[in-house]
Amino acid sequence: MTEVTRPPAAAMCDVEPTRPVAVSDLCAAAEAMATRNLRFVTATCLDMGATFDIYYHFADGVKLDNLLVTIPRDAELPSITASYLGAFLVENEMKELFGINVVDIGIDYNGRLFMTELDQAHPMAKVQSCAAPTVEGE
Amino acid sequence: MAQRTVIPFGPQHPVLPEPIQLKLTLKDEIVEEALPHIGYVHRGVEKAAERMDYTQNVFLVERICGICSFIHALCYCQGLERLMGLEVPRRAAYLRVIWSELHRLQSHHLWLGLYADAFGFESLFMEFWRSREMLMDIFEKTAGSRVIISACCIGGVRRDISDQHLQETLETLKMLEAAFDKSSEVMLNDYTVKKRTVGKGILPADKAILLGAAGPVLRASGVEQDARQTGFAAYDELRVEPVVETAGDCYARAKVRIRECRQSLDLVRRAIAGLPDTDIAVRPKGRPNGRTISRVEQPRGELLYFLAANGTQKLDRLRVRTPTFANVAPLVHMLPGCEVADVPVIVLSIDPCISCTER
Repeated sequence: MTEVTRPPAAAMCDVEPTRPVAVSDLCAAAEAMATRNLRFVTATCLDMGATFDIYYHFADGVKLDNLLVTIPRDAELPSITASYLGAFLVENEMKELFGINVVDIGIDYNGRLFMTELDQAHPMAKVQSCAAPTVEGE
Repeated sequence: MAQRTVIPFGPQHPVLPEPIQLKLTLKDEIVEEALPHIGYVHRGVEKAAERMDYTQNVFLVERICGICSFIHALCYCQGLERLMGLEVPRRAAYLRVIWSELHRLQSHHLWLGLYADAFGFESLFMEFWRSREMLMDIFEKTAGSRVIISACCIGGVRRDISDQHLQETLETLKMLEAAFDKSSEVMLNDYTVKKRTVGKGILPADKAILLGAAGPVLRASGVEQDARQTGFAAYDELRVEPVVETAGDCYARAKVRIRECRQSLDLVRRAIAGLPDTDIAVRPKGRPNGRTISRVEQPRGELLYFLAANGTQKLDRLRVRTPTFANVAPLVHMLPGCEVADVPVIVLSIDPCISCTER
């Protein structure tokens, strides 16, 4: 079987203009987007194993402008809700489904947006941190 | 002395065909805060898409939503076509526009009926839904199915529409337009409708942008953005001007959708008139590799698919951002300050699709 080797994210990216930013610069970059009156569209999280690639998509008229943040698995990711409150749902989703430690979310559901205490933790993550809890008596 | 109460609006409520909850903090009859809760029917479609073959995913994504199933399939196929370097034949591109606009028409008719029902105008609800049946019959005739029509495939469309069916479609649209003229006149000018919708749930343009609104909700606030302007399918030739209103209230959102119905009627007619005589699909070769974004305009707004492929039969990641997911945050902004009796109308004014939200 041929082994598929992946080129670096930025090189293989056919996503319309993408600017890699350091995690420490994310909030400032989001604020700059808000100042330019760009509309927040969504964020996309990709589990790369040891790291997460997180794209933030903004609409500049009909074109998209994207930011790419790469963070280690256990690193904290600052919320951009101070600039774009509308990001709270997708940030809660990333936190809950991928296990990314997103901090200071404007409206934080603390892992209970989609999931209950009985669900498997972080089901979208490719590396599972723990198994689903069992219901007492089963 | 004013009394504060927290009441749950939903997950089961007469105006909500699908479950979503809003925790409303009220000061007497006025809403002070709204906190949305979703996740009652989450289906894990994005995860399922990583486990299925990329060709099987066409059928999976069509089932995200029964109201705009064709447009989900179109968005997904378009992304894969970009990754695989496929050029869709022009006839297929035009057929994609025809079915997309028919979906927009039936979705807006469905919403206009539900909206009328939300403020107790049952006869108007029935008028819109009776007209909608004509559109469902067109789907059955042209694609063999009324809801999930499965007409889109990677590389084009799965079936053609015969000249006879195109002619019948045009005749049906004539009847639909006559009925729509009467119903929309009531929706726009009736005293009781205006009383319940004008000045309710206002979303200013700057908030619509910062909160990430999409589709008619965004355009009713005066923001001129419509994904069809990107020229996907055959929209590069069948130019589309975004329908914009500026009041940002429930009435403006209804007006945008009514004007979009007329625009869709015009687009279907122009697409049928200019339908090229080419093949309807190309055969995909190889396997997708790379990352791409595909965007289309659903009836409820911009739909975005992010596809990450690795050269195998399965995708690394399929991200689906639906317009209702984007419109939940603007809804939270619209509600504070309104009377509790207006909550159902304001909630319905974003045309919430929980199937799409709970992918």
